[in-house]
Amino acid sequence: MMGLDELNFLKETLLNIDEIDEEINKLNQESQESKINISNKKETIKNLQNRVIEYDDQVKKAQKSSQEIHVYSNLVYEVDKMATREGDREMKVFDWEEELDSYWKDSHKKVGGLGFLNGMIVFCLFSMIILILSAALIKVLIGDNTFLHKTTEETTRAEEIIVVLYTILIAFCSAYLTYKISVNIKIKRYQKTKKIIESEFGELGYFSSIEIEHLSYTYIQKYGAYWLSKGHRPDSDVWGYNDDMNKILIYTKMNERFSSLTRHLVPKILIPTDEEKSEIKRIEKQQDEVIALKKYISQGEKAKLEIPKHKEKINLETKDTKQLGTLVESNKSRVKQLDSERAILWESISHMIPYSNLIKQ
Amino acid sequence: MGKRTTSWGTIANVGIDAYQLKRLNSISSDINNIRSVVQRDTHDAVAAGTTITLAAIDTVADLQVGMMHNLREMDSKLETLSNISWKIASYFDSKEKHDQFVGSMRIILHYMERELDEIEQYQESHTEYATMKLEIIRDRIKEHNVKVEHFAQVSTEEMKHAQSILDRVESTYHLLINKLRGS
Repeated sequence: MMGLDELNFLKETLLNIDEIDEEINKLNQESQESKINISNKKETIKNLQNRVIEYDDQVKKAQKSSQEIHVYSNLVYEVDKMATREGDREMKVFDWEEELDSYWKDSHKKVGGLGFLNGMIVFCLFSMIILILSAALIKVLIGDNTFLHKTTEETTRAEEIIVVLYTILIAFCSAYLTYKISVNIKIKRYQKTKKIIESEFGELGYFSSIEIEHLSYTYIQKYGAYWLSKGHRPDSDVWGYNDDMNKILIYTKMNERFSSLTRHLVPKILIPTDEEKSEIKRIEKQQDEVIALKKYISQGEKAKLEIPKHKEKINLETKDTKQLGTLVESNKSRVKQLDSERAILWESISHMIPYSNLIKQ
Repeated sequence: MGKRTTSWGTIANVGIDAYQLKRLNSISSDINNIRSVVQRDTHDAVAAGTTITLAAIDTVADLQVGMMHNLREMDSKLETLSNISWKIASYFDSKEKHDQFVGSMRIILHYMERELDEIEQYQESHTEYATMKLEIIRDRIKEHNVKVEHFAQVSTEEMKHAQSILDRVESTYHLLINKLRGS
């Protein structure tokens, strides 16, 4: 080979080696990326397989739950019954409040007017009767049959004292009687209303605030209960609980302590009996169990649909992994081939590179 | 295979992969050992006869990496200078930076001279390889617009030194190419 040809051969070979190096680098890089992908895909497959196991468990649990749920077949009826009873009870409380409201609106007017009028009439009536009776009594005592204007002049000092004493006594008696009559009228009216409410809702009974608080009624309904028990609007703060069981101020004129100590006259029908309470508790517990079983069944149905999808994904990922594995192997083999070609090329120009004879063989 | 132009970047980097980059220091040190022995013995045939072996070098590819060390160093400095079009005075206002820049120019001359010395040592036995290296140096000089005037900004001595090196590149190249044509 001529000198210039050798020079060109040297340059050409070095360029060829460079191309081979580039290809080897590219293949190695591709293999490296594929290995990372394979590792990721294996992780994905593992996760998918775990999901399939979870779904299998959910399906099994759902099957077991659908068998167990038959035990509670009667529960729907019981819950309906309880709901009707509770609904009925709440409805009655609502009616009862309206009744109270209208009663207290009317009674306030009537009791106020009645008290004053009654007092006046009774006072006049009693005064007249007592005066007549006193005059007659004095006449009898002094032994004269004549009436007031004629006997006055003949009365003694002792007679005058008796008249004054009687007059004071009569005034006290008439005031007391007026008060008693007024109170009796109020009580009768209150008892009448109580009877009306009892005829409507059954017997009334006293219940503590705590017992009433634990009912699932609204604070307005409890406020109504207070009305009924006290016979008037509360004169201090009233506290109650809203639907979220947060304490709230209902009425600002009844303090909390007083409210908690107060006993309330409430229709007994509104308060569940101990038996009812335990029945409610049992039904609620069973309801919770049914909810949980229904949840498992629903999960199982979803899981049933997910299993084939996940298995399909696993197949796809496995297929991809195999393809990538094949690519890595093929690249490896190609790199081996290129390495061999590269070694031949280096060998062909090694005699042209200085000091190459010093390389250890 | 189609005709391709010799690329400096390609040929100078042939054989450099990540593994060789890690070993570059030991390869370079091995090549320097050879150079010192050859310089001492003045003839590579003597060197070949000694017990020198290339401890860090296993393949011709590694040897190529080591042989191109000077050219790579020179090229990296040239890259910096040509990027600013050799405008030393206007580019750097501080003395410190100016000195740094002048230092780079001196390094270029140093590596070029060192490479020429090395070429001289094997140009008789490996004329093709020596010619190829000179072609690479000439390509880089042309590509990076290396001129004697640039070195005049440093000093007259630097300029004269640069001129002598550039002349030496040209004269050696013509000498070798004529030899190859004649053979």
